[in-house]
Amino acid sequence: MKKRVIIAVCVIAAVFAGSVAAILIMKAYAPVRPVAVISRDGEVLYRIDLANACEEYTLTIPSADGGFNTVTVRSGSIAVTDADCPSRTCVNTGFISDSSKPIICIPHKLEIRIINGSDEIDGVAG
Amino acid sequence: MKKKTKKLCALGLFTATALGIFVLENAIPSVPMFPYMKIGLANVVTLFILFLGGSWSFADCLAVLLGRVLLGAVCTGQLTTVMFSLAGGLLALLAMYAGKKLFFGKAIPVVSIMGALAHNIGQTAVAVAVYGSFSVFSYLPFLLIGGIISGAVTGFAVMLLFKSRAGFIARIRDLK
Repeated sequence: MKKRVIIAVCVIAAVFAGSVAAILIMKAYAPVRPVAVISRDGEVLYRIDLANACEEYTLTIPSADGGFNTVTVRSGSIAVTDADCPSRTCVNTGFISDSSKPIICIPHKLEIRIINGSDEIDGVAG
Repeated sequence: MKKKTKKLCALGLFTATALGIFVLENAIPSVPMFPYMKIGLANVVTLFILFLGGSWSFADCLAVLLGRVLLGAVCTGQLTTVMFSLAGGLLALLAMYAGKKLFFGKAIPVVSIMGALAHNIGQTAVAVAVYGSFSVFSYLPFLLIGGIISGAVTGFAVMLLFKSRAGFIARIRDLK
């Protein structure tokens, strides 16, 4: 009995350590030039160079079911600031500035993730 | 007949308790930055029934879980989340049942953490299916850490319940 519990606790500790390590690794690879990629249902709609976004501005992205997500772009970070999806998980995720976690709105199939941009991207394209 | 009525009544009360906890927890604003995390306090009831023993079977536990999930969706008005709660809840129950057998009805917090981890894995799997992309997996490390913490919290809560409410437990254990 005791042996089984110890093994289980070790497995749980390993899962914990693995998760922390995964997050730290994602954080450590901080993008030199953060570029936000906004996609809906797998199709890329916008690529925004966050380093070039000096002034804050917003974009409204309609979804297939008639809903919307309002995206706010700041210098170095991006967030969904309004949406009419039921859970509003995307809004509550807040601003993101690195690749460790994307913003995902499951009902609207919208995804914003930050990648490390290279030089061919300039400003807003899409 | 009279005894059967008592058991049915207790099952109803457990479902109502779980539902109350679920609705209350739902009313608490989510954690900033990590909105998909929850303590899952309603699992205290599931875990409690699972470890109650006596006349309380796995089927009773399942009935309370299903009742809570379905009524919870109706009460919170989030019918779209039923699939998530159901997948998470059922997988958690199976994991906790396996854990109970594995540790001979002991080590409740460990069993609870196993359930919480299974819950989060089940929900992520449904999210992948609904969303149609594996990018949802990026949340898994955060969810697993959250699951370990929340599983420990609910597990210790149930352990304390068994220690401090021996009289109550002795009265309801053998309801038929």
